Amino acid sequence: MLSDEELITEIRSGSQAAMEMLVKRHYAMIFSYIYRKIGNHHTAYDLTQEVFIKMMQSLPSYQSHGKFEHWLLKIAVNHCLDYYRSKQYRNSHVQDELDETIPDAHSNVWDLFQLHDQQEQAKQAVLALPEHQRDAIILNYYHGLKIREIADVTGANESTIKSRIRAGISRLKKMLLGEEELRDGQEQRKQG
Amino acid sequence: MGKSRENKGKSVWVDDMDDVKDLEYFDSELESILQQYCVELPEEQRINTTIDVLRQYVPDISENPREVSMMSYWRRWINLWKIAAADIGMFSKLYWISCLILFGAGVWMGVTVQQMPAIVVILFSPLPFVIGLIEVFKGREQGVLEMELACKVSAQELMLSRLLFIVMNSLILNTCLSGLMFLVRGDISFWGLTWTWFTPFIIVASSSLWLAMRIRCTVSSMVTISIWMAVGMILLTRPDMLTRMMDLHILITILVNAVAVYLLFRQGWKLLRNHTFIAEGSLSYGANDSEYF
Repeated sequence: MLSDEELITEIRSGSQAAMEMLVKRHYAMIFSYIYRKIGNHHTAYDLTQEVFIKMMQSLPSYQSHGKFEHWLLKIAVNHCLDYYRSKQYRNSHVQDELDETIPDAHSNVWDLFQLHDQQEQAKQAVLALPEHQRDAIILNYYHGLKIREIADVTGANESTIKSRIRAGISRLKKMLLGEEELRDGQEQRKQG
Repeated sequence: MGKSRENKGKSVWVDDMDDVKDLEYFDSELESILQQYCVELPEEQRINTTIDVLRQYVPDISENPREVSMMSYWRRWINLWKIAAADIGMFSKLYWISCLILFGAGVWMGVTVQQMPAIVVILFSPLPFVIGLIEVFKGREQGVLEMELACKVSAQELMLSRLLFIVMNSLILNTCLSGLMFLVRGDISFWGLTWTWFTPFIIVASSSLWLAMRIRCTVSSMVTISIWMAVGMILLTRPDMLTRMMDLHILITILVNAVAVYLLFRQGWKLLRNHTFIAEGSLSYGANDSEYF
């Protein structure tokens, strides 16, 4: 199997097949990162495409100092930041808020269903995290990046990343397990 | 989320957060909920749409000749030979048997025929190439080319390397045939005989490749062989025509050969450029997609 660097060399010499292989190799990683960050399937698809376009535009200047996938994740992280700052996001965000106020005939049933859907709970909890904490949690937990690697990808220092992860986990616990449960656990540990 | 991801996430937390780790921050119940958060990837068709959008960003070297250095040409040329060498095993037994039979028949007839031994080499010389064309195009026609492709070899390169191989194989067989006839008979010149078969060989080779690129190769090979056999019959029944052809002025012969060689190279180049299909299904992407679901 060819390495990412070998594929890049092939792409630079005009190989369409190498480009296809490189994109297919990393598509799942980039899409899942963006989806977990944004929470919308269609937007995640569009942003993933834009990330790969940026990747292709930046390949001529790419220098393999580290892992290629970290370089690619860095593009994705920055692109998501750009998206949050964009007019497109602000408009869609306002629209989402308006949509939430419209009563839904099936809302009770839907809410009930959602409550029991752990996946939806996890999704909403991750999405409810502040942007930087969300980044740190997604990259650390779902992508297996180490603190140093996250610091490199996001451009923050390691201690900041550690505190973001800690704060993120703390928030997730509050949202997913409930504060009371958390306190009970702490008390039990103290007693133990 | 797969088990591997579960372990990966946990180990990273435990290993990496050692200095900040506090039991308060680790909870298996939280982890079990987070593990439920799966991501459904877009359909394959939509991923392929993204890939199609990206195609325009792959540099087209053919449109940018300055970027192609002489070194890269050499590298491609050497690479083509390497592919041809690695691909010999993929040629069918029928091709090898046909070559052997033709060579054997050529030697036998060349040695036994008393008059006009040159006609034997003239008639036999293009046939291994024409039969070999079926091997070059069989992948395209039977749809097995994709299966044969490794990621570094494009379909075009594979066809071109096969073409290169059948040209070389034909040249070697014909030279051996001329050499054997020269050694056994002693009444003919080796270089004269080689020059005699080279012209019809290169003309038939270039025109049969031209034909094979336009109609189904098996059909075009049959057509070429039939036409060639008819020409052979005419030459056998009218030896004066052959004598007149062999007595052509050397400059005319060189000119005809040059045109035929040019046509052969041109067809080879077209083969590389025209068959721009992309092999699918055979590529090992090396991705463990489930890791991120």
